[in-house]
Amino acid sequence: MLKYILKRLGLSILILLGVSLILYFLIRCMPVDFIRSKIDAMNQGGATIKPDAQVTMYTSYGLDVPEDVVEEYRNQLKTEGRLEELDKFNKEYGNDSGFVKMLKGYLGWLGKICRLDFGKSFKYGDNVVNVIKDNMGVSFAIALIATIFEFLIAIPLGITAATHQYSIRDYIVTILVMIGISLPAFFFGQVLKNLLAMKLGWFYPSGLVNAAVSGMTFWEQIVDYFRHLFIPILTVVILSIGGRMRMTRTNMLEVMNSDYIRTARAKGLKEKTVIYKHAFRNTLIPLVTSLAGLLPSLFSGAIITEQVFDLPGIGNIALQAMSAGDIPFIMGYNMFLALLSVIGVLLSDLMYAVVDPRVKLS
Amino acid sequence: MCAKKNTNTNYLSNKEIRAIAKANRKVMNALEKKKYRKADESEFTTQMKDSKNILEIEDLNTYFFTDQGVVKAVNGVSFEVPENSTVGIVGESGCGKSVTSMSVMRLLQGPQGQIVSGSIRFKSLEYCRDEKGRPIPAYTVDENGNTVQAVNESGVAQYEMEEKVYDIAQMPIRDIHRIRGRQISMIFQEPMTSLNPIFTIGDQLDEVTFIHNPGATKEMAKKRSLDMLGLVGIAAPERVYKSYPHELSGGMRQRVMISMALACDPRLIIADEPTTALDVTIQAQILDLFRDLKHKINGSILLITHDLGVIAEMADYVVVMYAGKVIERGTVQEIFHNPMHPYTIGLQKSKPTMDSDEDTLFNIPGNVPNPVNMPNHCFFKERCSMCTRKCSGEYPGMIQVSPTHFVACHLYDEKEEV
Repeated sequence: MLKYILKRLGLSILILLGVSLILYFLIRCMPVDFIRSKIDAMNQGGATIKPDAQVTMYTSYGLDVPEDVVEEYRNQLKTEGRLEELDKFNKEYGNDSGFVKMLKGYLGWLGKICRLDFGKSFKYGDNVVNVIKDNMGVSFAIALIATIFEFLIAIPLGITAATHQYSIRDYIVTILVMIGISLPAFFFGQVLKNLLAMKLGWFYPSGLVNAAVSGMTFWEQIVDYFRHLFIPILTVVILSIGGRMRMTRTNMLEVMNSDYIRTARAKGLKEKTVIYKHAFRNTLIPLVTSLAGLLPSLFSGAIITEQVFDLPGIGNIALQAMSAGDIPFIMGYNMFLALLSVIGVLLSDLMYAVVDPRVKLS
Repeated sequence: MCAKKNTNTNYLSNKEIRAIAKANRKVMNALEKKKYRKADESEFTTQMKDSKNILEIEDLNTYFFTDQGVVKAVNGVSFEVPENSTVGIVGESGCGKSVTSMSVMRLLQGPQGQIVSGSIRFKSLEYCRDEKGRPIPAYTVDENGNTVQAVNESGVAQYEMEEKVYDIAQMPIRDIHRIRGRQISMIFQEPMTSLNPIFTIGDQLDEVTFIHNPGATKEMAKKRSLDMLGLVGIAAPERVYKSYPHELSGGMRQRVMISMALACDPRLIIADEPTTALDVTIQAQILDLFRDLKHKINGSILLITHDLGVIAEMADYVVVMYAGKVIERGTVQEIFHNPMHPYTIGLQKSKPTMDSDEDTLFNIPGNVPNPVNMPNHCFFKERCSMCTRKCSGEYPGMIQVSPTHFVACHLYDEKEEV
């Protein structure tokens, strides 16, 4: 068992290396340039940034200077007669191709990672680890609560639908759940917001805390959080129940039609015991393993839901970082999710061995 | 001409399917409601016709309501199982053998499969209950002269029993639990898939003792399970007790299934093709085990098989079924030495024997009629070699040819009908 886990962890390192390589190259190919947008914004503000200042900016962020800026910089040095600097720059800058530059950049990033230095986020100006840590709370809370409710609601629904197959109950549950699957988050979120927050006024339409939060007692704060987070969590739960319920229903149906359920009935067991002991324990096998696979989704944040409800979650932060071309943050965040995925898969394989006596890990 | 409906084709228009489904739903809902109703015990308590029988099936009709039409899987079946005897049901695949046994256990897959009419009278041994519904313990005097609760050989506490006759076909599903597993137990044909893969053999065996014996403790159940495993010839019961089903071979699993069926001293064991899924050497072992058990247990066996050899060796009485009906029944000697129905005669002929010189095995020509559209005349008419003009008439009734031998065929019409 221990040997198996160690072997899998060793393999995980290789997988993570591959993931990081692909990620890095993809990000470098993105048509956004953090410095370029910054310079453009400054230019619009009326300032003119000279090529030498631009080059300094690029190098200070550890980025490669784009060809056109290099060209402008050379021209500037020539016209200003700073030939010594030009010689020095030409010698240092070299004539590497784009691919080699990317590879050098990747190796540099990898070297830092090995020293556990994830770099500083361009956009947020803080260490990547700190940015993730600071914004994770809301997203994790929403995802965790939503997942718990998703399982608590979807599994009993799936079981009743399966044990009353083709009855009115089955049809109602299946139709409602299909509606849940089909609704887009941005639409359904707005509908709930309009109904529960705007019309009825029971909950707040957006944000995480009230302005007056500092003056509140502990319980008032809890109520305040609840009134802010209720609608987003409800949205996520309703949208995610469908898949889980259908999975439970299908598995349960398969189990209920198997020979050992007939044996259990023939023994004289009550139908409740047949369903909840003999059938459900078998249905649990795929459910429990899928639970472990959920690990990354607990931390990834719900980008659309967070946008709709204007929550300062990690999904929102990551989306903004992505559009700004914040390479260290995107790398750090995605590698964090990749690590969680690898651990999730390993956990779900281990869970198989726990819940199913037929599976032996070796 | 196109509008003319051809009943021989399997094609149904959507409209017809909808009409069938609608009619089916009506009947199924009524029957399902009856199945889940709450009923007083007096509603399904009856009397046996012959007190020597343990099970009497009379005019049993079990139908499957499919979208293609109603399949009469069991169509007016009557036979009885005398106490301490083995009754074999033979017939080809799909003739309703298993559905008959499933009807007795009330294990039909609802809502499609339903017992529509008929009665299944079973002489059941019930716990005597006091006014609060608790079972009354049976007391004996131990060697020290103290009055203690009686225990059986495995140490499971015993209670006062009384005999009652129930009509299983009329019983609501909530009451069937006290019959299943304790009074009538069943051995299935698929030992490989009939045990729950995630519980140990011990868990699954103990469960039977727990359900049916009020106040059974863990030690009692374990001792009983180990005794049962020993009884079915498992050499290392302790090891098997702790194993999971996937760790055992097919023959071992079938032995476990049999020990599970024996755990509560059932009055009737239904063995539904217990050897079909096993290879020949294991088949022989399991049959030996059955033959051995016949003398050890105090109950009857209803053996369902399509293997005539097994029937000849094991059974006291034989019921031959064809297309959902009993066509001939009698003692094993009568059926094997004096088969009367052309189908039974054909079955005997199609059995391979060592001393026959013929190159090809005899087979009965033709096929079983479509179960949805059964003809009004004898179902065997098209395949019968002894067909007379009378056979185009209505379905032949049961004719008694000896005190124990009955046959449903027009060839014997001059004999008295029953």
